Amino acid sequence: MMLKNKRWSLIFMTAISLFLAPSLVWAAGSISGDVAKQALNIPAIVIFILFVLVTLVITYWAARRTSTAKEFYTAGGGIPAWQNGVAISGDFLSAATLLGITSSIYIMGVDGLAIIAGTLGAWPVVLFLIAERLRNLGRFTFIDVVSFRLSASKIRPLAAISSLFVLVFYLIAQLVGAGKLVQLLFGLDYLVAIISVSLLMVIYVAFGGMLAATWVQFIKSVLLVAGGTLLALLLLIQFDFDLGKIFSSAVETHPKGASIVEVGGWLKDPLSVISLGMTLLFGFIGLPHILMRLFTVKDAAASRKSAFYAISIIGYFQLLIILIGFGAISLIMFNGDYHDAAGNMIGGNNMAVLHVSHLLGGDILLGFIAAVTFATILAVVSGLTISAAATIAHDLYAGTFAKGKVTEKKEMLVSKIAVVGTGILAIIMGIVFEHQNVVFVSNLAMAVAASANAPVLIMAMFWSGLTTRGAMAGIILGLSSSLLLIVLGPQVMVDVMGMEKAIFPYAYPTVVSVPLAFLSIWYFSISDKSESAAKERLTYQDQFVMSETGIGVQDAVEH
Amino acid sequence: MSALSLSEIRKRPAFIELVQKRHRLRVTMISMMMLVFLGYLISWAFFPQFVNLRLPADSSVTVGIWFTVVVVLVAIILSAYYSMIAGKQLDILNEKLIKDIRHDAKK
Repeated sequence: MMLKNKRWSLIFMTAISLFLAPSLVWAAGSISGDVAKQALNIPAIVIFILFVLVTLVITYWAARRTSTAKEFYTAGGGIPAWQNGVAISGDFLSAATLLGITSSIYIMGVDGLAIIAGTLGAWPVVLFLIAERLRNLGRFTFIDVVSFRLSASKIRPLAAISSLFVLVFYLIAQLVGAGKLVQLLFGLDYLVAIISVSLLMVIYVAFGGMLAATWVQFIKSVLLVAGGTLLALLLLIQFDFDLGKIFSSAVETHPKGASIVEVGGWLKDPLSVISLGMTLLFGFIGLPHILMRLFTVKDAAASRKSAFYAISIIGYFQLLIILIGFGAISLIMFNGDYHDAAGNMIGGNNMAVLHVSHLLGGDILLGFIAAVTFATILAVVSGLTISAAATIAHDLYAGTFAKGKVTEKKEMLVSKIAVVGTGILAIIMGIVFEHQNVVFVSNLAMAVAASANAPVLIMAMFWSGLTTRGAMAGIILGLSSSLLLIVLGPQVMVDVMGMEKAIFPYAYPTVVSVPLAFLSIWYFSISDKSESAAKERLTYQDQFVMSETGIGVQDAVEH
Repeated sequence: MSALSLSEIRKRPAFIELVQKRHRLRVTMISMMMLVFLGYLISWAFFPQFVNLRLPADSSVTVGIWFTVVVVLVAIILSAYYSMIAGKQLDILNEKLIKDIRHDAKK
């Protein structure tokens, strides 16, 4: 991956795209396993190849502008706020949002809306509390901020491990989903799909760094929002632009009847609701790849604007999802074209939005939405990969093992090796997890982000009493309790192991693990009577001035 | 920037004013958002009969659906308001503070 001649890199990329193009067409006939065979989807293939070609040209362009660590990790801080905001929204609007939330509404009705409200409840918290301070205190990763006034040699490796847990599990969930989806949409073999996605993600990130990853995310986000808008408009035409009609038709069509618009189908008890709310609220605060994007703009004001643009786009898209989810019920629930002889939806319930696309816009719209869905996965895994590379090279290698005594060139080399390593790991884990239920894997990622990352980040920025001992306790207990409770919960014990009842009754462990992390941070900090702890508490005052004004930060973080 | 100069900045009236205004804005915004969001979660968790009420009464649209839309809109509106006030007032105060500090440092 370390080709010195840029011309060779373009030739290499073009060769890759040409390799992928025929494989997409060829693979249409090689469907196997659980996925239903689909007809050759020419529009989807053409649109997707166009996307890949455009993004490869952008990667070539970005590669020529990426030579320093700052350029590689954060695009030199030169991304405009509006573009970064669109890219942040793209990081959030993954295939899970488009397919998953729509199908949650399609199956469970109004309970699926709790995910939307949870997400939109979390984002303003990121804007009001996190965005500006994070940008003022950090350089490349949120771990810079956590270790700002604490013992970096102790905090960085621990925070890096919890970060990598989140990123790798999120990556696995995305890739396994991508493999299945591509199998269905393009008829591509699972292994070829996993390898193709991983290869493209490595190319984008290793050559173009954050600049390429941001552009890929930006283009995909624009396409996704445009596709969603078109789909919602076509759907509204079907219902004569009468919103009430969408819901009344859903009630008339769905076997559950009126209960489809009533709560309690999925979230059966109060603690489940609170737990879901806490997972979404703290989970988004602790997602390393989203936080990293706040460093790609020039200052705190631009970081704040980015978060606002992201919230607006995410909010708008979520409103479209509500319409599409409920509209899908009356349009396709009993449509024989989209169900097999046994009455099951072709490709599984996650395909609701794609079947609606076909119904409303024929092969062209289906092809467009399918290609955008695949592009979505590609863009999200690229964002995850650059975040993983930064954690490995900047936090683990340079910050921990080399104790800061490392040349920029060497750190860049380690970053690119980390990108390739992440790609290989993604392929291996994608194969290992092929037949697993990956819902718990993505929940695990969110739960760890909420329990291990978010509490320590919030306390590092807002509590003067935080010490290294407290932060370490918070990360260790947050990480271990969230992992343990997921394993003891229904998603592993019942769904994976086939047991009748789980030891821990809730799908999300955050109702226990988040308070535990905050409490342990507090207790182990106030009980720390060491001299270093006293110094760390005093240093908060300096950190506070820097975080509020941005003064002196560059000197401090680069030290 | 030395620790001494940071402690000097901390005592400046302009810095105190900036911090107080920003704190007030943040607390107000976060309180409003949490009020709506926690209200949503609590009503969803403990008052399902209220969430399931039809609005209008003869329709299939429930309070829960409206409430979700309200959470989304409130999130966007509060974010827009915060960004606007921070940009129009706080950024100007911050820029002035930095300018004054640089000016005084040159003396």
